[in-house]
Amino acid sequence: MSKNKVTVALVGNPNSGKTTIFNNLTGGRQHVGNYPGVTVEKKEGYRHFKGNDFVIVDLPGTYSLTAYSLEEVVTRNFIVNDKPDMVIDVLDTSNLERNLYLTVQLLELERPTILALNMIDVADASGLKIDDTKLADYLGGIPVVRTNGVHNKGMEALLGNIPQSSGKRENSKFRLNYGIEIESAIQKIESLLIPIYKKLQFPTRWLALKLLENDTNIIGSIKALSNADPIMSVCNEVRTELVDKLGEDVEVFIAGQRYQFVGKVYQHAVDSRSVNTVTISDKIDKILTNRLFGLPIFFVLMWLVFNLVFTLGNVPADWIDIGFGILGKYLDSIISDGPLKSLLVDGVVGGVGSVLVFIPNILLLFLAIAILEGTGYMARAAFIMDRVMSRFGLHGKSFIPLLLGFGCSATAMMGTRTLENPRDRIITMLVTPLMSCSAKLPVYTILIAAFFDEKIAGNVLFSIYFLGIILSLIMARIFRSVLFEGQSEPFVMELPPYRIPTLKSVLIHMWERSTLYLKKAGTIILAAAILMWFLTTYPKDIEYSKNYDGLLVQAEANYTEQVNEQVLSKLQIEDIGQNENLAVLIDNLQKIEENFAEETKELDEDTPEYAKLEEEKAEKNQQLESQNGELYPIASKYVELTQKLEDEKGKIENEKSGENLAKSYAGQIGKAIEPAIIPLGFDWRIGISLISGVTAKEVIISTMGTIYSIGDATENAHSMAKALKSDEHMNPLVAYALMVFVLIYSPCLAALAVLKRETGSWKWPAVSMVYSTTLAWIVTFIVYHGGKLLGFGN
Amino acid sequence: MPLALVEIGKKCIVKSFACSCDIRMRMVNMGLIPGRSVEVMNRMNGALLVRVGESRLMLDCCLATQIQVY
Repeated sequence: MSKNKVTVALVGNPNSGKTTIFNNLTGGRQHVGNYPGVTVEKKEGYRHFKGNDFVIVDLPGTYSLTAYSLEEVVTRNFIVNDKPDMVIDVLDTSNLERNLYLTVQLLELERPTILALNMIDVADASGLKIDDTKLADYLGGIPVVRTNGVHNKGMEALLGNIPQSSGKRENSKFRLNYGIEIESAIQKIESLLIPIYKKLQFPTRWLALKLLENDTNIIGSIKALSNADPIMSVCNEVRTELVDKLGEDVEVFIAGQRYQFVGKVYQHAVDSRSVNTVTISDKIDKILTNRLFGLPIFFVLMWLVFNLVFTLGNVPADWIDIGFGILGKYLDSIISDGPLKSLLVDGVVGGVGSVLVFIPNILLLFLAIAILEGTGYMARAAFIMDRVMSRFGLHGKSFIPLLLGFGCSATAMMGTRTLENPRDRIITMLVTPLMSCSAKLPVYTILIAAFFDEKIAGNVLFSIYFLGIILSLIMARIFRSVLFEGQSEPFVMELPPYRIPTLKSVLIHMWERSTLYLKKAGTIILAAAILMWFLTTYPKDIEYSKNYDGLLVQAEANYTEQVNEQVLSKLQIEDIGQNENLAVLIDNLQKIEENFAEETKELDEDTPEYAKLEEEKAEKNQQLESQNGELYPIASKYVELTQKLEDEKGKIENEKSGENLAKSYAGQIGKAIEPAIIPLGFDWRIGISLISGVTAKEVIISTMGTIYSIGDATENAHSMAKALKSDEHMNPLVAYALMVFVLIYSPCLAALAVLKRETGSWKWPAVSMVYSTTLAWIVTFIVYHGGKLLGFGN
Repeated sequence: MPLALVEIGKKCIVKSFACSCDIRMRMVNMGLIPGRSVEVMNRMNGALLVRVGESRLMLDCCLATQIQVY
C-alpha cells in the first residue's frame, strides 16, 4: 500500500479561523452535507500531500465538549465514533486562555492531537510571547504548530506533523488532576464502567467525568444499556455527596478546575505583559455600538445590504429571465406542437427558469452575509437590535432575514442561517413571508391602478406593507408563547474581534451556500412547477362551450369577403400585389400603426403624451393621403379590416385559453374551493389565481390575465385593469381584500422548499402553509365584512 | 449586586448565577465562571457588553440581572 488515507478532524472555538484553515488545506475542493439526523452542517475536503491522501473534516465551532449544544455533541461523537487519524485543534492565539479550555477537554478524549496556534500574527502584533515547548509540555507533549490562516502560512507544517504510519500516531496522554474529591469519585465510577465501556467507545475516565458532570447525552446512552441501573444509582450517590462537600454543582466545579489549570498554563507559557488591554476592536465598538450612532449606522448598513441584494441583484436576474424567454421561444420554434413541447416550454423551462432567476440575489445575499459575519459585525447587529426584537419573541439577528423578506421570502429564509438557536430560526422563518415580498408588488399595483384613485394609491400600498409588518411581529410573539412555550430563554453570545475577511473565504462561503440552494430547493421547485403546469394544462379533451375553431374560420371568411368587396373589386384586381402603389401604401400605413402601438404601450389614453402621439399619427396619415389621392381611402380600409381580423382572432384565442384554464384541474379546484372564499368576496376566478400563485406570487397576475382572456397580462397592465373594473364582481373593497389575502396566504413553493430544506422536515412547510392561509382567511374576512359594514362595498 | 447595575467601565468579580442550568453552563463554557473578573464595556437598552479575559461577551438584559457580582 503506497497510498494511505488519513482522516483529519478540525476542531476549535467559533471564530478561531478554523474554516480558513480548512479552505487553505483543501483548496476549496469540498463537500457540504449534514450530519445524519441533525441540521448541523458537515464539511469534508480532500488534499494530497507527500504521498498521502488526506480527508479533512471541518467540525462545527464549539466552546466546549459538554452536551449543551448540538455542535458540541456532534463534535465529540465524531471524534470518538469515527476515530479520525488525527485531530487538529485550531486556537485563536490572541484569545489563548479561553481556547485552551476546549483543548483540555479535547485531549481527554484520548485521540492523537496537534495544536495549531492560529492567528499567530495577531497575537505577535499585540505583544503576546508564547513558549511553544512549555505549552506542549503542559499538554502531554503534543505537537504545536504556528499558523496564520489568512496568509496561508503553516499549512504544510500542520500536515507534515501528522506521522505517515498509523502506528506512530500517539494518543494523547494528557491527564488533568481534578483534586482528591473528584479523582476518587472518578475511580469509583470508572471501576463500574470497565465491563461495559467497549460498547460505548468513549474512554472510561472521560465517561466517568461526564457522569459526574450530569451529561444528559451520556447518561442517556448508558441507561440504554442493560444492567445500567447499579451504575446510575452509584453515580447519583457520588454526585450528591460531592455537591455537599464542594458546596457547588459538580459541573461548575469541574469547569472551574479546568479554567484553573488553563490559567496556570497561560501564566507559565505565555508572556502577556506588553499586551494592551484596549484593542482596536474595542475602539471600533465605541462607535459602532454607540448608544447614539449604533442604530443609525446599523440601518444604513441594512439599507446597503438590501440594495445590494435586490436592486443590484435584479439586473442579472432580469437577464436570466430574458434568456429563459428566448430559450422558450427557440424550443417553441424547433419542436412540433404537442404535449412534449408544452411540458418542455411551459413546464421545464418555466420551472427551471423560476429557480435560476433567484441565483444572482442569493449569491449577493450570501456575499453580504459572509462579509457581515466575516468582519464580526453580525454579532454587533444582534446586540443593537436585541431589545426591540426580543419584545416580540425574536432574536436580535432575526432583523436581517425579516428585512430581506421585503425582497424575497425564499432568500430571506436562507438568511436565518445566522441564527444559532433552531427555535429562533423556525419562528423567524414562519413570519418572514408576512413581510411583503417583491413578487407580490405587481399584484398590488395592478389592483390599485384599477380600483383606487391615484391620490390615495400610495397610502393603500403602504397600509398593506404596514399590515404585513404588524402581523409578522404579532405572530412571532404568538409562536414564541404557543409553539415554544416557556422556552423564551436568555442568551449569551460572543462578539468576535473585528477582522477583514479574506476574499477567498468570502467567495467560498458564498458559493457553497448558493449551490446548496440550487441542489436542494431547486429539485423541489422544479417538480412543483411541473405539477402546476400539469394542473393548469390538463385535461386536454374538454368540451368547449363554443366552437372556437369554427369561429376562427368564420372570421377569416368574413375578412376575405370584405376585402374582396371593399378593396379588390374597387380597383378590379384579384390580389394586393397586382397594384404596386397600393401595396407600398398599405405597408406604410401599417408601419405607422405599429409605431404608434409601440410608443403608446405604457401610456394612458387620457394623457397629453398620448394625445400628442395621436396627433402626430394623424399628421403622417394626412401626408400619405395628400400624396396618394384616391388610393388612400381604399388602403386605409384594408388596414382597418386586417386590424379588425387580428383583434377578433386574438379575442377568440384568449377566450379559448381562458376556458381551457377554467376547465383544467386547477380550474376545477378553483370552483371546488369557491364556497370557502365566497365569504371573502372572491369568486372561482380569483380562487384559481390564488392557487396558481402558490407557485410564485407574480403568477397571480398572469393567471388572472388568462382567465379574463386578455393574453399576457404583464404586458397589458391597462387592459388587465380595465377587464377587472368591468367585472361586476369586483369593487375597491374586494380588491383590497384580495391584496390582504395575497399578502398573508401561503408562502410560494420556493419558500416552502427552502423551509423544508432548512428544517429538515415537511412539518414546518405544512405548518407555515396552513397557519398563513388560515390567518389570511380570518384577516381578509374581517377586512371584507368590516368594510361592508362601513359602507365601502358598493 | 446584579451585574446589570454595574456602571460602564467598572470591573467586578462574578459571585454566582441565579439562572437555569443550561444557560449557566453555556456561560461557564464561554469563560464566565464564579471568581472571574469581568469588565462592563457597554450597555444597549439593557443588553450588556462585557470583557472576560480576552473575550467580549454580550449578555441580554435578563441574564445580566441574574448574575451576582461583587
